[in-house]
Amino acid sequence: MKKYMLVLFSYCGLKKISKHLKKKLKPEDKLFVRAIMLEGVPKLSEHLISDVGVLGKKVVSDLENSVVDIYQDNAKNYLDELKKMAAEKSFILDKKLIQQHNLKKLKEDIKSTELDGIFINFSHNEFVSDQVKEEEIKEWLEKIELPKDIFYDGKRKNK
Amino acid sequence: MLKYIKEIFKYIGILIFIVLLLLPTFDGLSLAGQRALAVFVLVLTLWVTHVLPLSVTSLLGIALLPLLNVMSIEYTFSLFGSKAIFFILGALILASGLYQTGLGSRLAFKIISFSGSSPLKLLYGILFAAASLSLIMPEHAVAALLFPIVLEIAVSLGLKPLESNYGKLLFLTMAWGTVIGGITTYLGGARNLLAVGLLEKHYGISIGFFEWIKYSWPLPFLLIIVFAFIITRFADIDIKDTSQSLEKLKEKAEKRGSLTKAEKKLLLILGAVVFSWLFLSNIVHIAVSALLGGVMIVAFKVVSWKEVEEYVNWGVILMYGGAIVVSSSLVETGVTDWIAARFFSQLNLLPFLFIILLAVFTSILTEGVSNIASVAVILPFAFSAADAYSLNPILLTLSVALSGGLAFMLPMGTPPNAIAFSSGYFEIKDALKWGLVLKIIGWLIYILVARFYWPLIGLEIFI
Repeated sequence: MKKYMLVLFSYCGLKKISKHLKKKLKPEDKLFVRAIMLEGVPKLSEHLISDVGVLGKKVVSDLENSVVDIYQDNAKNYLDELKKMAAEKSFILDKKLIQQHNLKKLKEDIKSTELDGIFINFSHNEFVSDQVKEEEIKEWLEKIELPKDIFYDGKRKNK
Repeated sequence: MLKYIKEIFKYIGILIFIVLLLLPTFDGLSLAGQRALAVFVLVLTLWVTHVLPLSVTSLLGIALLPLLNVMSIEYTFSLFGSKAIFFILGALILASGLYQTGLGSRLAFKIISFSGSSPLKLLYGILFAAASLSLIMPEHAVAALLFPIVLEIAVSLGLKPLESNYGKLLFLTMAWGTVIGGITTYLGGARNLLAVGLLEKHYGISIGFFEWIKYSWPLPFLLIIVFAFIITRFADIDIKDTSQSLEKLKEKAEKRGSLTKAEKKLLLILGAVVFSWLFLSNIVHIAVSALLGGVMIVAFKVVSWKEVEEYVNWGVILMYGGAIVVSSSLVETGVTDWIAARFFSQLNLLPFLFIILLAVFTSILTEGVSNIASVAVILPFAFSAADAYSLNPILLTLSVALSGGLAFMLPMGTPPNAIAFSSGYFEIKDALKWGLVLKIIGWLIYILVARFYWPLIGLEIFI
């Protein structure tokens, strides 16, 4: 039995992630899923909408709510999809939602679960994802010796 | 990469500012003129690099001009009180009514619901809703208003981000519809009015509300037709039926019930203001009608003043005011004349080719810089060229303002692109590929309009 973790910063290109999981996971393997939840839009987006677009707080907050809602819905829908996949492929699933700011908890999880490998879906979209937090995890992962498959919005880029 | 370019640009700009202040005056340029040029370079640099908020950069420009004895303090501050600024102020208050009462969303729902159940018709509906709403309110606000509606359509159709081609089309159509519609009137993009404000300060001539539409309409009209054709002919629509989303939209529209009291009052006020802009502008200046409309929507409790304040980032007034003051300082101190004599007169360029190059350059610059900044930066130099080549300044004003609105490619070019991009449904390369096609088509249409349509209605290239 092998143990893997899937960390989701992005919920784009998930079809390719699912394909990868189906290829990697065998019956009785365990998959930990840590879905990072967006809580607000990054500063760049707010700057463009408010400073350049001259729209006020209310409009920025309406837009932010729409973006965060769709992000969170995508996360929850994908977790449901993974649940079905786990039942079909007979692997064990342990899924958790992680608050965007709580990367400490994510690091602790990665350390304590004695993984055989980790898959991460980062995002290139700096208007939605927090690139600073993603960078922090990337740097930290470089330091720990763990086989990893890195994706950006579903596209494999092992760097 | 862009970050480093901006950093380098920032230091170069600051360096040029200091050097221009320290150097002896250039031949033919007054000391005040050289200092005005230095301030202009500094402000331009800070606008482009966004080191400071745009409005704060404008304030810096306004403060530096009297400090460096470029213009007297009274005159500098008086330039801020432009008619264009007060029109923008009134128009933004009116647009806040459309957003806050929900009348704007209601109109969008209606237009999209009418579009029919096929995927292609739904795209036409979004395109038409985006473009037509951008005739009466700022394109940025239209994108913000349409975003949740388009998102709901995408979700109800089960479209996945970056996997569904139709999802990409929905958001790109929304963004580009607003961009195309926004160049048509003063209300869609305030840069149009800023350009006319600068024209007024320099030449004492203006372009009326209706007159602007008379000049501008072929460009958005033809662009919409070409864009609709591109969608029909070349877009890869990977979905067969959109009736599910249409049902949801209709349900939502029905839930809203009939027009609320506030919406009815707003419709009446808007109707009166637009009537005045179109037919009474010789008696009541359009800025006065806009301000009165703004006053009425608060006085008749369509929206509260707090709601108006929450709708707009009022730094916009400082940004626009500063742009007018700094650009006007170049005219007042003879910098534009000096550039005309020193630079443009020496260039052996065909005037019409110059106009085309100006439009192309503006529309490229606007992809990386706020379109207001593009207009404020380029127009004073365009006026220099107008003097050197005896070109019609109205034509140059239109060329810069219309081209300055055509930002299709990058999210940082204009907020509608950024708003659409934050959906996560498309990548920058998608916007680059199709945006470039639209941009080139936009240039071609612009050339046709400038060459054939404008002379036909009496707008000649030369004066």
